[in-house]
Amino acid sequence: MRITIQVFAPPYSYQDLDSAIKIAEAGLNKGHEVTIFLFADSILSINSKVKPIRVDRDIPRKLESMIKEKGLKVEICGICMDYRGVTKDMIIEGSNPSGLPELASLIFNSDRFVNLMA
Amino acid sequence: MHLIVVKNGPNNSAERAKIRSSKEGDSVVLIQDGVFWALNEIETEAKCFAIEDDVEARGYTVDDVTVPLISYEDFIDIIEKCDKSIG
Amino acid sequence: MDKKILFVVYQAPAGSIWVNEAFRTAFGMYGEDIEPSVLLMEEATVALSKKTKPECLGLLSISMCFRFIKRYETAVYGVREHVERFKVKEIEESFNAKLIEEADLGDFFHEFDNVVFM
Repeated sequence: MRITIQVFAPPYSYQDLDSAIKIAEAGLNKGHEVTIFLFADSILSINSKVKPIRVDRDIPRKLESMIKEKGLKVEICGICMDYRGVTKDMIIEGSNPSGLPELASLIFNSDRFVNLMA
Repeated sequence: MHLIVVKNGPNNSAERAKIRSSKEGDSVVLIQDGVFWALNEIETEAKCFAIEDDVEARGYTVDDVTVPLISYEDFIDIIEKCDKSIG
Repeated sequence: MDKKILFVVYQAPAGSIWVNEAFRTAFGMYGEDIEPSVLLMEEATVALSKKTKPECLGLLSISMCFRFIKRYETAVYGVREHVERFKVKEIEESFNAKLIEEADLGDFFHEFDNVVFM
C-alpha cells in the first residue's frame, strides 16, 4: 500500500516527527511504500545543518538513513522552506522539495493518508 | 471505516470533535498526548487503542488506561484496515 | 473517482496561519481529481465574520481567498453553534458558507475520504 503521513509541527519542540518516523518505519518494515510530507515548521527536520547535542536523537540523519536504506520518501513544502530560509543546498540527501501539486498527487494516489494535525 | 488519529488530550476542542464524531466500525488511535483520553472511559462506539510507547513515556502502564495498548506495527495493521481517515 | 477531502481549521485566523493555509492547500488540490472543502470551527469560526481583518496586524488577509473560492466553487462550511458562541454577527457572503449543526459533524466527517485537521 501507499501510505502518506503529513506533519506540521517543528522537530524537537514537538513529538510529531518522532511519531511520523516510528509509523513510517513500521510501515516500511511491512513492505508498504511510505512518504512523509513535511508542511510548515516540520520542514526544519530536513535541514542538514541541524546539530542536536550528542545524547539526543538526530532527526535529519535518521530521515536520511531511512531514505537511503529503507526507501522512505520525504516530500517538502517548497514555499514553507522559503519562509524559513532553508535552501535546497541545505537539505538532506534524498529529500525532495515539492509543493501543493505533489501533495495533491500524494493524497489522490495514496491508499492511506495519516495526518498529524498542527 | 475511518481511522481517527488523536494526538492531543481532552482539553483540545478539535480532538473532542473528532472523538464525538467517531462511530461504530471506526478505529480511534491515541498517540502522543492523545493517550490522556485513555485515563477515563471514552464515550464512543468506535474501537480505541493507545500507542504503548506514548502511554509509558507519560508514566502510565496498562493498568492505568481504559483501552488496549498497541505497538507501531499494530498501528500499521489498523491503518491497513481503515480506508478513510479523520486526523 | 473523485476523492473528497475536508480541511478543518479550529484556531483563530489572526493567531495562526491555518485558515489561510487550509484554503491555500484546498486550492492546490484542483490539479487532481480531488474535491476539497473547508470547515471553519471553534475559534476559526471568526474567519467567517465580515469584520475579521488579520491584515490589521500586517498578516495576510482572508479576503485574498475569495476570488479562488468563487473561481473553484470551493465549498466552505461553518458550525451553527460556533457562529453563535463566538458572536459572529454578520457572515461574509464571499464564502458562500453553509452552516451545519454541531450534532451533525460526525455524519458530515464520514462523508469524506480524508478529514485533515490543520
